[in-house]
Amino acid sequence: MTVQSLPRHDVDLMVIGTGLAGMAAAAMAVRRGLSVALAGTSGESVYASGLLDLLAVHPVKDGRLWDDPFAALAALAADEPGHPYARLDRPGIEAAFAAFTAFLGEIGLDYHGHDGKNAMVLTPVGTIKHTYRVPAGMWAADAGIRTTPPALIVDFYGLKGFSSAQIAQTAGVFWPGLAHVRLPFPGGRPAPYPEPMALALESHKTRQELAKALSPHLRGREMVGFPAVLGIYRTRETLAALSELLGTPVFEIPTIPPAVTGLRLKAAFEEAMPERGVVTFFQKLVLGVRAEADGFACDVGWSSAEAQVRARGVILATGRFFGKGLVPHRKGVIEPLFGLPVVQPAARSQWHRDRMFDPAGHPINRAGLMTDDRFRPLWADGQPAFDGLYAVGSILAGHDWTRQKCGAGLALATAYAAVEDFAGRR
Amino acid sequence: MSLFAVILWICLAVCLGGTVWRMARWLLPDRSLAVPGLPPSGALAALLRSLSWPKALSAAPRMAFTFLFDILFQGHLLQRGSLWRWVMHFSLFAGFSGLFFFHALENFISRPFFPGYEPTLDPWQFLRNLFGAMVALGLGIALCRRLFVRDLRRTSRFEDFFTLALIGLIIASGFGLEGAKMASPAAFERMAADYYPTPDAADLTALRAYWATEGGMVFPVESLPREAVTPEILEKGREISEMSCAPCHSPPGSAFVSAPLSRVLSRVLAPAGAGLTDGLWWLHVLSCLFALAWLPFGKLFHILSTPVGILLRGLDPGEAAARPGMAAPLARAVGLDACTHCGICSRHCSVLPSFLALGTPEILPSEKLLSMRRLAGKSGKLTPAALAAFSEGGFVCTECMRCTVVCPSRINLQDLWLVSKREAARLGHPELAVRLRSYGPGVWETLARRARPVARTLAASPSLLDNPETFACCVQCSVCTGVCPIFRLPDIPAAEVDVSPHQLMNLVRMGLADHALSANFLWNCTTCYKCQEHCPQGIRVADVLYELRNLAHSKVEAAARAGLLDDMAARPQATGDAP
Amino acid sequence: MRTTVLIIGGGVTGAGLARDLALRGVACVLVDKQDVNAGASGGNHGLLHSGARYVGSDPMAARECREEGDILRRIAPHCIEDTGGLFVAVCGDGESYIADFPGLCAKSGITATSLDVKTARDMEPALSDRLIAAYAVADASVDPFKLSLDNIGQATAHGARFLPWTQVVGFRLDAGRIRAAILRDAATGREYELEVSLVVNAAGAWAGRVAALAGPHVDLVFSKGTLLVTQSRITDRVVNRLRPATDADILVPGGTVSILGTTSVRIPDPDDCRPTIAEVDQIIDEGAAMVPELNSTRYIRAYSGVRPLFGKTSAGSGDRAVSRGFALLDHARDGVENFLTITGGKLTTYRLMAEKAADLVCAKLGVDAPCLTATTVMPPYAGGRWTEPGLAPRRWLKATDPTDSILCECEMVSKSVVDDIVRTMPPQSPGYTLVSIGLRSRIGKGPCQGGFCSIRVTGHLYDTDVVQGDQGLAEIRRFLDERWRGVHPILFDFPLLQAEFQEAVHCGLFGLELVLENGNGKGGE
Repeated sequence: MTVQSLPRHDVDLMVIGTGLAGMAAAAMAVRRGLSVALAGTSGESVYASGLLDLLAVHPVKDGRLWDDPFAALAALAADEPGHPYARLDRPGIEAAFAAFTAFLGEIGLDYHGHDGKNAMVLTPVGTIKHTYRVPAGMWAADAGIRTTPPALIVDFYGLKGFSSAQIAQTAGVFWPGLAHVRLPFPGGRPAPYPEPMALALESHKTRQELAKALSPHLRGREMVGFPAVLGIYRTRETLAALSELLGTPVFEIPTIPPAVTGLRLKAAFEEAMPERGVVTFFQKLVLGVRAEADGFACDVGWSSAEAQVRARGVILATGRFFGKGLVPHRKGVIEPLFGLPVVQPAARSQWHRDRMFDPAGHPINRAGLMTDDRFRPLWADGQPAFDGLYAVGSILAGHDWTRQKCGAGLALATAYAAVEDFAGRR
Repeated sequence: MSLFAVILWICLAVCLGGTVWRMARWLLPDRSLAVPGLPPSGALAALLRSLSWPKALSAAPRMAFTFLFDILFQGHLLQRGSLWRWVMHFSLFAGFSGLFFFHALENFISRPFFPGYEPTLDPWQFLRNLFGAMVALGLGIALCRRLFVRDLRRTSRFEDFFTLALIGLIIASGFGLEGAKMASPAAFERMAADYYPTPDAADLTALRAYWATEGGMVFPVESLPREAVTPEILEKGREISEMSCAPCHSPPGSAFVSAPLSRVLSRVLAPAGAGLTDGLWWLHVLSCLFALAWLPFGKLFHILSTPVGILLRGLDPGEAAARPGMAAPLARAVGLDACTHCGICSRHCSVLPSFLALGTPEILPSEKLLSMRRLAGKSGKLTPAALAAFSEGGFVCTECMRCTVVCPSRINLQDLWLVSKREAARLGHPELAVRLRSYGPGVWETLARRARPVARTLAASPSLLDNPETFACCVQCSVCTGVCPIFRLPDIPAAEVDVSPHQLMNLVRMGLADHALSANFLWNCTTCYKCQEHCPQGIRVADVLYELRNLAHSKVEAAARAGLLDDMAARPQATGDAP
Repeated sequence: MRTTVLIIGGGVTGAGLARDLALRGVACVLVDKQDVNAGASGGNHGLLHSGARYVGSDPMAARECREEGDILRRIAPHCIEDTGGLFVAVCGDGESYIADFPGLCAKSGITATSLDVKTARDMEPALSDRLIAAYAVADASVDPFKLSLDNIGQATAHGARFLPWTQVVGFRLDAGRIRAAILRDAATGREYELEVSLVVNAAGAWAGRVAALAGPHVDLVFSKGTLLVTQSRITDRVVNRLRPATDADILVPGGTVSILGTTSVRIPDPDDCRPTIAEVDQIIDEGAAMVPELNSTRYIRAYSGVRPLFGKTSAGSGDRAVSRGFALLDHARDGVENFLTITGGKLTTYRLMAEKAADLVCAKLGVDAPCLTATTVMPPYAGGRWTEPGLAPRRWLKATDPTDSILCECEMVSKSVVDDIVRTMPPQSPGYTLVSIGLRSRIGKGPCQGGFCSIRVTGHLYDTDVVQGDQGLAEIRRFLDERWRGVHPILFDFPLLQAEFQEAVHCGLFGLELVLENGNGKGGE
């Protein structure tokens, strides 16, 4: 098959990567009236907890938690000028969050949060996760942690990696009124994995059976926590209906990723993107990109090219190692698609610290692409690699998203900034 | 009673007896063809009961059309076969019918109903040659197709060629006989003595000269000197011939096959004389009588069974394969007999590639039907190997119905395959997947112990199971299980999703592929490839599942060949779908 | 509390000695500051030497290996996978050693069958195509954890006691005799005395420190050996490089994995024993010369053991030349009457060491009882069986119990196995449960290296009331930190992806790195 015979698409912007950053970039570009193509494998959205972090910890080595993420941002920008956040301002970040949560609301995924303040949710090991915007299903946990009413944590026989006893006992340190109960899944039917359970709970009959089985355990309980299995495609309805059946607020606790929380995002994205006119190549990779006079020619496919996309601009949102945006060979880290230089520790012996939970974090996590203030990746000589090429999300150098709790915010804010810059140049 | 009469009566008796026996099996079919819960013997009664008068009246025009178009004109061959097939079979059918009714049965049909009938008079002489030529043409096409069309050659068996040879012998000996008679001076002298009893030798010579010139006979020089052939003598011979011969003998030219043949024969075989004619007569008669006696026992029986089958299906023309009624056993029994082993079904079979890969003939419908015929004939007396092959055929079949649609004999093959699977299961050879999944962990563990340790490198084997690189990049995220549609079924029993895709991958990674074969889920996988498409690391999950199934198959085949499976108390587990 | 003999060190020597004494009817207590095989006994290839490796350097050791190997095959066949072994040389390896090898083997009574190169590569297709010589020998792989646990199992069945996570912090001496040992519970810090008649110091590389607590000086040098575990089994047989012993020249299959090693690096302090990235790179490069696949295969982890080498040596990297035989010291000559130290030696000859030590113990105690360890079959100890790779999934498949869900997916260890281990292992201090379960099973040993199973197993421990309060956080942290030691040096390619994912879950979502610094990670207000 010759290149000429491949289906060809001409778009303004090619977004490479279907994680949060890629999806956000595509959604925001469409909002700005750009024509967009999007390619990537199931991506990191399946692995997402659904929580939208902004910034909760700084400095990492002290493990200092911040209630006000914007105050933390100011401190971060001062201490770490190389951090991608240091290139962004508060209005831009707030606009990015506003635009993205509005988009999520349109596709059926409601988000809540405090103005200028981090929220708290429970994790499956009973710790508190500090985050900025919370899916509706987990939102009640914030009030629960703050007011600690008598509450009940529920789990189901067979559901692995989720123990209500563990959560109730571990979180009991700061939330003394937690009780827990393990029930057979209503009907006892689906395979003991979160996805089938979530699908089953989209049926009202299953919810009624669940409510009935729960009723003996509800006396005096003002709140009920569940594993995050309250629906995949109809979470809004599932949550409201269950809350009404039980007569109490209900909240979800995320399960170990990849989980239903990520599946919701993925399912909603995959439905919404084509509806909004995005040329989507899901489960496809960008195999190669050639820079041309006024843009880029991208070969899209799996093992061989199946389509060609010509785009004026490219947003590289391929993630880090897990997303294959960066490849960590024994001799060093490379960026495989464009061959961009990767800022990284001098030797592999400096990649990681001796202890996994070392408070300072691992240096390799700060490796990544260096960009200018417009998020255009740079060659080693400090010149932008290509005029229309942007890098967004976790592939950037200078952050430690797992320790700083800033992964989603980084994705949204840099995607927003890159799209605004590209759209503004037109 | 003459020898001929004795043989004739014996052959007739065999034919009749055989036909009655075969037809009795339609009415009392083997129980393998029964509809569960109903006695197979009631099929005909049920069929008749179902025929109310209004229904019969409404069916009558359709049946008439079926009879005229499908059976007499053989239109089904044009519709479902090809032009060549129709030419081939219609020539055979029409030619053979003509010969049978007007030539073989001349004393019962031609003579009583056509006054002045003489076999040597036109149009009969011409027609006989025409019919014979049609059969010969059909035979020629059939033979060429069987020999040179690859798909047909694949399914052609001894019986197919034997049948062609038998018909060919009948036709060849018939033409030979006629040609030999024409060329035979002995026959001439006998006829002349009977119908032109003249003492005038010159007149006889004139007649000889005329027949030698016009009829191509070859006379010995002593009875027809060369110099005797002059125009005057010929003219005289013609007069005598018109007077004495023509009332019974058309000019030999209308015997457009035999006449040229006679010239050849006369040159080549003249010395054989009367002995040749007699020999050919016996050959012709015996081959005909043999065909008669063999009719109920070989594929020639389709002459009777196929029209019956077509008419029976004409009663219920819908492709209602999935709803066998009370009368189904009758239709099935007739259907089994109606197969002409023409091979069309196998040419169109969806799983022909599987046959090409695996080589088990029973994968092809035409061959599976032969096995099934044997099965229905002997009630499960097939050898275990034959049963296994039969079961494998059933397993590979996708029930796509193509064979049923293309069958020129209108056999409801789809229904037969469903029955065959049920029957194979009853005899302990259910579909491969059912059989393989019926083996519990104990069996697989025993088989695993017997196995030689595999060389777990790519160099030693291209299989994914043996290659450590297959799972090198697995990060244990279990997305493969999360997206599996089987695991999302709302009411799937736990036993059916006992080992998940990622667990199977882990078992293989740990070198426990042999043990993983006991997983019920392995046989519930729909091979939708979602797992493989969604794996973030590009692991070929579904391909591995395929390899596991193939491994199970090959292990069980090998164990069965070695006679090991019988020792292991392989008790089928309750699987729900096993009968 | 009192006992007759206190054995310090739960490695294979201590475990073997406990068994030996118990079988002779001598009461004993075995203590370890950590758990079974925490030192060199757990940090080795798991190779049951045929002896062929020592034919050049130490014929005596070679003969001992052969004899002890035969004994172990008789008394503990379930600990041994009789894989057989190959000695192979590739282009560039010394011709003279290759030529001498068969003669040296014969001299030590070791069977070495010459193979042509093609046969060897047919037997082990992973071998390099640059092979120039190959010999088949009677190597085997042995599960050191099972071996120690079985020794302890038989010892405790005959009245001995095992106290893991119990450190000896001092001795009470009186008139040149140890009267009691002062023991400390590692988790609670509680200290108590154990009155003893005799103390055997089998603390391996830590023997010098333990001896010093009573006064005597034991001169040891520490040689660190690092090994790599591959994700899959690369060869069916043990593969040795046919050259004088050096780095990364043995590849040992063990169950579903292969183990490649080792290095020999002098370290000043046995606690300073971690695999380094430089060693990993060196091992891979050397091993790949013999088995090229080692260049591209996925590694699961690295680990190090520290060999205590007795006796002064000249400086330099010649540690392999130092005797790897063992030392049995009677400290009576140092003025402590009832104190012995046994250190050094090899896994293969552990039983012989224990026998020699027990003989001396009995002589000093005046006990007249013959050694039974060479003839008494060692039954599989229930608590030790789950270290066998593949056993848990095989049992699980056979049981077909849908309620017995898998907790460790990589190695397919189910709830019932965890329950069984919890039931049979000695009581653990809070925070050490998960690590101890890991030691006694395959949990955490697969590709995820604890990322998923730590959460699932901890959840199950809560469900079964083995773990309470917020103890689970410490359990997970300790388990992952312990795993990290081995993962850290091989973090490139896929293991790095795995580690990044693990960090995203345990730090990004759970915030476990904040747990100690901020109580339960609440903070922020």
